[in-house]
Amino acid sequence: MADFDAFLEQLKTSLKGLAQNSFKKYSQQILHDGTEFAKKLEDDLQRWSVEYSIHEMTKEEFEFLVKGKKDLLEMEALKQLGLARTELNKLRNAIVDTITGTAVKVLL
Amino acid sequence: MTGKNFFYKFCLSFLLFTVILFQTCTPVASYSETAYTQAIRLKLESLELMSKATEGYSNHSGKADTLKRELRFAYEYAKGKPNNELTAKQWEIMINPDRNLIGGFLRIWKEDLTLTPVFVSEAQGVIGDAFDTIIGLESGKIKPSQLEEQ
Repeated sequence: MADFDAFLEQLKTSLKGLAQNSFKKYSQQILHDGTEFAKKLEDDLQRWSVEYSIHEMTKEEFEFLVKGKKDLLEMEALKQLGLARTELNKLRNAIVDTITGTAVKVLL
Repeated sequence: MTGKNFFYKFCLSFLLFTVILFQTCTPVASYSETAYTQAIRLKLESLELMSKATEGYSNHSGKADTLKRELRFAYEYAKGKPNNELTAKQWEIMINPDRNLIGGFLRIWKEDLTLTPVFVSEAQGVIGDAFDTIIGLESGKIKPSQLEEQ
């Protein structure tokens, strides 16, 4: 059992490090992107309202921009979903590699 | 708890976790250099043509038709790649004339003939950001070299 205990200990340490590294970087990126998007949305809407009110753009153009921002939000959501799926796939591959690598190192 | 029992419980839990992870993992298309450079090129070409939209559409209809064809090609390319439905959906929103990104912009330019300079400039910002979401998703995909390493 000594080999298995060593294997388990080594595996636990490796997986802990793997999970922390994978998700810390990714969660920080999501938070950053989300905050930036919300801030830009607010700034843009305020500026467009002013430009429309002083007749620098037509009502149709103003509406187009607001609806365009809604489409952009959908595009951003698709990007985040795709990146999340990619991260999950990377994690899955890394787990398989970690188990295999640890087993080879400790048990063989 | 004996070491043996602990080992079996650990293995069982880990097996369960791994099975769930494998089940929930939806395959994602790997990175494509062609798709990446295509998106950057189309972003630049779109923004360049948009800057002419303060002039009449008829003066630029040839370039607009070429751009529409290339955008359609990018959509079909994304749609044809396996496990690439998210990117394909992004292109679909981007080129749809009934929505409000490049497809919609080209439609209203054609209908209204000229657009105000302020609107054109603001629309370039929104549509440029929309292209960036496509570029960002493509660049975040797993590179073939990373697959080989694993």
